[in-house]
Amino acid sequence: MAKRDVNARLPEGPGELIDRARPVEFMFGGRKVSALQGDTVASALHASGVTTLSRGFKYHRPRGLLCAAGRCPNCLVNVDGTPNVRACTQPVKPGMNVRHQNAWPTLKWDALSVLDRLGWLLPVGFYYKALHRPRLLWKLARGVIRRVGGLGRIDIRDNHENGYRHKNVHTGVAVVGGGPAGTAAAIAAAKHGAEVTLIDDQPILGGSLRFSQFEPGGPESKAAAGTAEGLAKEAAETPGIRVMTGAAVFAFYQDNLLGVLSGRDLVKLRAKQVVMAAGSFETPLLFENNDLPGVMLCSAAQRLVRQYRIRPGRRAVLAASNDGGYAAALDLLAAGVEVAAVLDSRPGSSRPPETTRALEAAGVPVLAEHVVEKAIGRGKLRGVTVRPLGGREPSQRRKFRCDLLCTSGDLQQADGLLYQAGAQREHDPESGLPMGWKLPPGVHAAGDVTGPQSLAAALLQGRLAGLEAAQSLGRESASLREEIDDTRRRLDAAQESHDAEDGIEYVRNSPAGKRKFVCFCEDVTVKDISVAVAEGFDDIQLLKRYSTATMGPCQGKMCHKALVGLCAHFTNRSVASTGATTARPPLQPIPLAALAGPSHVPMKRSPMDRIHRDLGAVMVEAGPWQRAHSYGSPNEECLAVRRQVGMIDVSTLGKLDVRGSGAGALLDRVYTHRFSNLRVGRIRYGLLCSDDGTIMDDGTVSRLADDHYFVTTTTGNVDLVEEWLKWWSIGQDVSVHVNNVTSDYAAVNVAGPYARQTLSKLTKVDLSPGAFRYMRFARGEIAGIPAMFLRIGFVGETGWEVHVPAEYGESLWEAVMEAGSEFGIRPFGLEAQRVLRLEKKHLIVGQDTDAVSNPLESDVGWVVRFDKQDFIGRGSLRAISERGLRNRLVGFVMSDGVTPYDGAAVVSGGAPVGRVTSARHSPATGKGFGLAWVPVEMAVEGSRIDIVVAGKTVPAAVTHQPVYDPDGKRLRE
Amino acid sequence: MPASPVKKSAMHARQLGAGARMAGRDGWSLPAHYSGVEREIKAAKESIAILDASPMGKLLLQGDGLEGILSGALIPDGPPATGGVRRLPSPEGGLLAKLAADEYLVLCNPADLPQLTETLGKAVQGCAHALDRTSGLAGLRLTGPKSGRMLGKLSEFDCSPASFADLSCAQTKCAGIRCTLVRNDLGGLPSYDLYFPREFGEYVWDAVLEAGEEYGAAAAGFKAADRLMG
Repeated sequence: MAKRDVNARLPEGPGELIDRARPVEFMFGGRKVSALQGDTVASALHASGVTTLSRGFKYHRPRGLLCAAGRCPNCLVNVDGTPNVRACTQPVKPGMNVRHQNAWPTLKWDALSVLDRLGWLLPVGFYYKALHRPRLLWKLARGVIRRVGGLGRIDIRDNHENGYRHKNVHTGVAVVGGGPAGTAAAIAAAKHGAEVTLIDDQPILGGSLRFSQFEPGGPESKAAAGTAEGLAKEAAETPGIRVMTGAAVFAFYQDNLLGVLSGRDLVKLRAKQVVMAAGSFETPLLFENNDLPGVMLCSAAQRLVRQYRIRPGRRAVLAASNDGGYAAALDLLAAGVEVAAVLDSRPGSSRPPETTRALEAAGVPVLAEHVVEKAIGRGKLRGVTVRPLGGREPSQRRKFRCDLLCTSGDLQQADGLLYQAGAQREHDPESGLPMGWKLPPGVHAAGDVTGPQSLAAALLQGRLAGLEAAQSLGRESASLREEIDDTRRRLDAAQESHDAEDGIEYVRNSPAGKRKFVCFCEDVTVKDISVAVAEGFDDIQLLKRYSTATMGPCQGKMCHKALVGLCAHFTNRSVASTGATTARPPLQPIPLAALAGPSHVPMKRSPMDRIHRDLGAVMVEAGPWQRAHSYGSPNEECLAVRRQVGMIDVSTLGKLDVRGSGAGALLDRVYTHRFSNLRVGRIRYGLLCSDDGTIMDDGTVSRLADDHYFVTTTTGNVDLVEEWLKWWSIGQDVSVHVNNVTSDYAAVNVAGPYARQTLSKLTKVDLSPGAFRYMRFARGEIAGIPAMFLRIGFVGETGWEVHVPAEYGESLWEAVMEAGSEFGIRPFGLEAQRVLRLEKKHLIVGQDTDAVSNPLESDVGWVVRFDKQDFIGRGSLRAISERGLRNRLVGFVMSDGVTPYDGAAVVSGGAPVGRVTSARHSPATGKGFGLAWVPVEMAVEGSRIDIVVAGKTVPAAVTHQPVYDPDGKRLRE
Repeated sequence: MPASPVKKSAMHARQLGAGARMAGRDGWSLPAHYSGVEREIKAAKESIAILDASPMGKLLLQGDGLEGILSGALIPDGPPATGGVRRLPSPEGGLLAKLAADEYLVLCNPADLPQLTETLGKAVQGCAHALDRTSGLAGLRLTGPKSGRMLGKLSEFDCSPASFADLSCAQTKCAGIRCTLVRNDLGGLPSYDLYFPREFGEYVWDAVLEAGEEYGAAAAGFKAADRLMG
């Protein structure tokens, strides 16, 4: 690798992107590389003589710069730990660490390049054909393939530093593509008052005008840079245009939603109108060794010259099937590159006369109807052999020595987004050649994306699209209509008729070759395609999947046209009847991290959350909520509740405010119990069933006033119950409103023998047993805070649920803790509550019941009122009752100290017949106990069931009684 | 009995973590200022100031016939159209936002809530009612020229001036959760109120501060807000 001086760039020229006064240094493969501000990694490497940037995916052949525009896979590198970054669009930054990928041990000496010689072992679709037998072979091969395959390695230590941001932007008109047509469209729309967002993937506006010396038309026409500069300036000065450069539109989703990746921002751009002006780009030619470093697209060489002022080689050959090669030859000559020859596969009459004259005047031979046969060199281009079209004789071959071969195959319209938008290409019914586009509403197209254009036509087309977009936005005016008509007239005059081409010429002279690469991403050759078609994969969609052509990082940008052409050629069909592969988002690979976006997870916290954290509570996720699991010792917390007093934060309970004259009737209809007859100030346990009689949720219902109820639900089900109540309230012809007020209240459950004394210190509400009985409700103040008192007993002790406005949560907690300190109050967490309620045989919906549990079998049949009018699930429950119960949820006590896991099997004769839903160790009895589903014949008080604990069967006794306070005296004290 | 109870917002712990100096106001413990009042005012004028609006009185009116009840004496010009906001007459003042055909949200200063609750509670009868959601809805006020752009990072809703002018409201998703958005410009500065379920307070705080970082947004206390309101 010859080292060049980075400062030895071409003299300053119009449109260059580098800042010569600001040198930048970065690392590549462990060595320092000098660059200039404005360089891309690829341009800087090229300037310092590095021509091999990566290795091929399959054969590990060296690959160099090909497109220099962020489209092909040839320059994928790892930048600061992020794999698969395109070196040709990544701007250099001081100190950045760039490493090669897909090569070992070094980029120059890659051990796996041996695969290039073992290609016969890896025919197209080899993984479908080989390695099947013996079966062990696949197991071995799988490991190797997984290790060798894939592209780039993700550094799992590199995480949040490189986070992406998501942004939503709304705009009137989105213009995709900042070339002449797109910029003209943006200016025209904005001048008529539209709010415009103009997006281009290159660092500056101007499109192809930015890398050509002259406007299309050759040396007689104007300098392209001037035209581009003028357009960019006008766009910048027109109010209402927001320009996004260096931003890639990777997707077009429904309703004109564009996915745009701009640096670390993922922009969701919603546009009322979209103008597609993404232009077209060159594709590689097909010849032997067409992937050799030194072979690049004409536009890539032009970009190096014009934008980065680098001489891309010393002696060049140009090969084209369009006018692009001629313009590039002039640019190279101007940059001091010796041009050995210009080849054109078309007949001499197609040559652009002005440019040809200029080239011939400079002594450059222009060979019509000539093509490249082979690129010569190992790891680096040293020369080419060329031949006339159809000339197969060795004597007709000519050889040119060169270190640069610029190619320009057929132009590929950048139409991926148009297809994603639902646009369809129309074909001439007779010739089958492509004509125009049928566009969906709200989408316009302009410029080369619609087909090859003259610059004048592209500008007019852009302007027309912009005007029409503004018109569709409702910016109707006489002057706008006039301008549209005028532009249309001028466009008709300016449009030259281009001979439509179907792209098949492209491949007709490309007989199968072993190293003629169609798809650079997946290393698919012309031979692979011919073999695949011969094997029967002759439909374009099948061919794509079987050969994997178009499925790599470039997503078909470099190879789609060739693939379709080859498929048509090998199957003797027209291109139109061959069809195309489907364009889907993303148009180009984008990091998953960009789609994932910011890393915050919505998390619900109780008003007392800070206190729990300060107390060192073990926090657990209960659905979306953060809850305290325990404060150190669940055992001691249980004992505190049983012997003194405990407090648990129950703010997470679902709470619904149900009011209106129809509130009672609604609850009667939805719950299995009756609530319209509940007296004001009283509480009743409630259970909801779905139509099939299975349990949906449970909770308490308090009647606050005649037409006002306060309903609690389980923590996880409040949204479901709210929706369920609202759904069933719709049919009612009386007023009822359901509001979810979970957020509005902080709540604690204070329970234990000293709960009454503790709370009485803080409130004037009479809590004495005679005045405030079990399942009663009252309002009052506690510690100066307005509160609701609900006397209920989930944990089986005298206790109150106290609800206060959420903002007082911390004050309430602190006041109760202080008041209870003399009685030994302790906060208790979820785990203690689970043990305490289990001792009382209180079920938890979702833990002890599942999607098929009904109340009759779950031992809560006492809340099902068959004697009231219809309620949801009544019919099903009646049927279950008549059919007879099959299983039952029963309590059990283990015969010794072992405790089964939740979910342990209940077995009979070695076969599972039921399961444990909750089991804990009882601090009071020293035995394991819990709840289990068993067949109804085993659900007899005192009968023995066998539970599997740690692989052994351990006997347990069935009980229908709670293990603690079976008569419920303590609850009611 | 302990000292008189204190109202705390759902973002209280985060505010302390951000260096807030707390002070009492309307019974709430609120950030008076963070690093400096001048810096916070500068943020409001040049980028975004983020203020805790949780204490705002929030009264939800629901039911049939509200249109008729609210016209007449209460709102001389009649209630706004859905998505619109109208100022309530003095002395209490406040805002009336029409969220849906049969739903309004009244926003007022905390001190005025009891009086408004009584007035509206009396007026709203029959198949309609008033529900105080002050405790359940936490609030953040984003004031400043870049606040709309910052909202674009949190919500897919179009907050551009053309489609969401001053005195507009919407129910939409912000940072992935349901929230009510009210635009009420402050002294010529675009200002958006976000109201969302209280339990998401810390999450929304984190998401909003992270979104504002690139614009130089700063958390602000009530002293800066008082000065901005003049």
